[in-house]
Amino acid sequence: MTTPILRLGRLFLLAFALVAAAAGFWAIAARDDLIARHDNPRNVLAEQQIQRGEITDRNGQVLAETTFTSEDVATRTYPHPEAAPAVGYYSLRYGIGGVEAELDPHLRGTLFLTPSQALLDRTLHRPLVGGDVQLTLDVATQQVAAAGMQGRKGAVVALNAVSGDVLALVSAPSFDPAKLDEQWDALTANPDSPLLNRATQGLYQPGTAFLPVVMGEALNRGLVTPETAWDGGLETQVASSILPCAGAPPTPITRIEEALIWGCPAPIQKLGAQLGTDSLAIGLDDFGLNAAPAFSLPTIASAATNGPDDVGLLAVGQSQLTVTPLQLALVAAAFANHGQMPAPRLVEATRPPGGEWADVPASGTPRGTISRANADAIAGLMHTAVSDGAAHAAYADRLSIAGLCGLAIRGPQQHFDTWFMGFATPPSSSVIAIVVLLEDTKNCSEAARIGREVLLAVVNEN
Amino acid sequence: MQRLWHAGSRFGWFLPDAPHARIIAARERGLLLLAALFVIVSQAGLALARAESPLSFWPILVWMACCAALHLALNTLLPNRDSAIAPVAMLLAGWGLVLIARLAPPFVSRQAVWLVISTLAAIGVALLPPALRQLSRYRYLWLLSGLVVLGATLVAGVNPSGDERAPRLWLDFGVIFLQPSEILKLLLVIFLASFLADKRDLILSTQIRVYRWLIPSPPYFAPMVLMWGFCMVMLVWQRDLGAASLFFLIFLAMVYVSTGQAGYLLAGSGLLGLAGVIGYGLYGVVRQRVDTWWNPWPEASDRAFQIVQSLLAVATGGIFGQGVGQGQPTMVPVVHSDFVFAAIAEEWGLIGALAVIACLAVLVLRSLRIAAQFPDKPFHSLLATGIGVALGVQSLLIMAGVVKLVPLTGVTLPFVSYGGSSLLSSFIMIGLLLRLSDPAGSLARHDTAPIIHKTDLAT
Repeated sequence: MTTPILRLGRLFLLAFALVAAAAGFWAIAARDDLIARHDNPRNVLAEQQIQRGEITDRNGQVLAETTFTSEDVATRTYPHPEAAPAVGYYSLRYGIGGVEAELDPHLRGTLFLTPSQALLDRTLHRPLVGGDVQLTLDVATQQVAAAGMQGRKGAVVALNAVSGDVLALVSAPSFDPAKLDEQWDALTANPDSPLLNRATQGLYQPGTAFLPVVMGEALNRGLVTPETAWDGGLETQVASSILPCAGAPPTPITRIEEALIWGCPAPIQKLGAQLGTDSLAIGLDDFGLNAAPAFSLPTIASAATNGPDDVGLLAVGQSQLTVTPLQLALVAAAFANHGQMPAPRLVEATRPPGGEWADVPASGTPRGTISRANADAIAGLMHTAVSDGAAHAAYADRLSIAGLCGLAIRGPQQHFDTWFMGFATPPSSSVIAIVVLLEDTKNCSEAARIGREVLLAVVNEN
Repeated sequence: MQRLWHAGSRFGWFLPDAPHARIIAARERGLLLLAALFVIVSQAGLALARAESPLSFWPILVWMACCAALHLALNTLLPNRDSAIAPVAMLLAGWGLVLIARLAPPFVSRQAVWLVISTLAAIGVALLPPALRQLSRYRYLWLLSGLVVLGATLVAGVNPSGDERAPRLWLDFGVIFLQPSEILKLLLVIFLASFLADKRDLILSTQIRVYRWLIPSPPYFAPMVLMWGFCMVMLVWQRDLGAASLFFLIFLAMVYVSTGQAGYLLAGSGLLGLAGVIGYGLYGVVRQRVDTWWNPWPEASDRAFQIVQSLLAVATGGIFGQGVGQGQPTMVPVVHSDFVFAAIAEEWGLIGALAVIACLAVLVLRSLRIAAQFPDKPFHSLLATGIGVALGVQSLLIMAGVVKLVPLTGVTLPFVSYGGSSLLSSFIMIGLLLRLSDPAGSLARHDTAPIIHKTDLAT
């Protein structure tokens, strides 16, 4: 019987070796794929132990924080859901967005660990401790802007025109990051795309809000002066629609500067044709409209402004030209700040766990646009547009507000969008620039009123 | 004593010379100390990870007392025993205690009591006279009593979990639950060893030739096949797939060893496959096990939850493991009994899993080695073979199931899983193995000559 016993022994050895090989396969070869499976409960459990960092506004008001339940499970709370377009969301099921995503390594704490520390922490199963983030956002301003956009579609961006600090960043409709898990299906199915950040990633025709850029470029080249006479029409044909003036001039326009004050496209369309494609392209470059601005949130830029095009339509912000509200806010800031365009900044400072706050510079660099004198001339026209022009709805007694109204025709359905771009200098702060975009409306007064409320909120805050 | 490996002998690697009794005792003591070191360090790691008081060490103290008692008893009773068997079994049992304390703390005291009972049972078996005649002579009685308790389970079976739909494989004795199929497994091995030892010459000499194959003549084979069929029917009735396949494989391996004809293994494997196909068609539970083995991923949160969680545990462990008490093995349903191997892989890593595989392989190979030492005592040889096969097949079935190599069968991992009946039957088997490994017992205490010369085997 010895031979069968021996053979049985070999058979057993083979079988044990096979089991060992299978265990090795799952533990080594298939390991990463298995661990990364979305239904691996260990990932969620590990995530629920992380002491994620706080996100606060510029005054230290908490926008997002992590607390632990009695069962030691981390939960993320958002005391100011109106800041969601900037703050973003953090969901165990649907991932991360906004600042929560862009500064994730900092907030999770992985940024501060050397590989050897990370290995040690993993080995000892020490949960991660994240760092805190302070935003340039001002909750009071953000609240006013969000309240103004309540029930509308569009975006608001308010920023310090000198430092580039973003005080308010609103995209409407928005979402409550604390209720993301319950509302995810409704949010993704909503045709108005509440999860899209219109302020930084929504591409819109600038329409007549683009006029100051063309005008500024023409002034810079000495092609015209504000007083250059105009005796032509005021409206422009865009595809099958008419792009009208943003306001209604009481008397016929006689000087080209009035086209800006009343937001009338025809004079600027002619100016654009005079400038020509190349000069206009340089103008776009000067104002940084061909590139996505460097920012703490994902940004995009229109990629369709360099092909053969109707240069006149391009000059009135139609044709293939599209911009984001953030880009136009920076244009407004350039006129407010004597031709100097700041680099936008959303993150004020960061702090490693248990460490000291350190200022975070803007990701981009400021850029010069047009000459100081010409920028100031345009800024003067913007003041007139509020005091006596199309943007009069933005007028306030206790604050000198400048601004322009613009209309744009969007998409094949020829929807009208309305822009208000402006600025004001509060007594105790540097100049604040603002852009308000409202989708599907021709009523510029609404946009101008929202702009005024936000600018007044900044004044109240300071 | 001169220790040679007999290079000229074909079985030299398999059957080294038997060493002196003092060396055996020292070697076993050394191995037990190593096992104790591992178990104590593991328990200390667990206590630290959970911030438990030193009182949590009491099951380990019980285990150490069992180790010492077994070692001292064996020194007296079986001085020439195989020195690896007791330490390996004890290592696995101690590891099992740590795991139960880790995975299902309320059960640890019950398991510790069972360990004491099991150790005493192993010592009791070692006290049996070397010829083991009672085992051989009353084989029908043993088998019948096994079948009677199994039959009692059909009538009065319960499931300790209280779940009405769960298989009722246990008998309730008030203080303890007993799983008769574990006892039946042991009795079946004894019965088959005795029956085949008696009849194998007859079976071999009266074989009938059918075309090219030799098949046994019905008068000698039929009773055994009937007995086996009876076991199978009862088990299938009880929906205990693990035990049914285990019994069948034990039967096959023992028939193969006694007749030396590989055809039985092949034919038996074919029968097992056929049974699988029929079971797949008839029983939902078989279909589920096979489906979730073949492709668990689409049903990972449904029918295949357990196996996918098990693989996730193995993957999480990686090579070095998460550390005792620091993984999440309790994500795997019933991890403390059927899936204890997945918990080992998660917390002790692949290294721990390989160590368990190696320990069980050592036990199987030692059993077969003991079997090969009795060329002229077929009952002893077949008994050792049967024990090795029972332990080996059961270990392989559950470990291979946990790593998705074969469909899942609900059997325990010997010595390690939670379960008193399983621990008891495993320790009785260990006791028998130790008894067999030292046929002369204390009579040969001062005999330095090898019990058996390997040259006998080579012929």
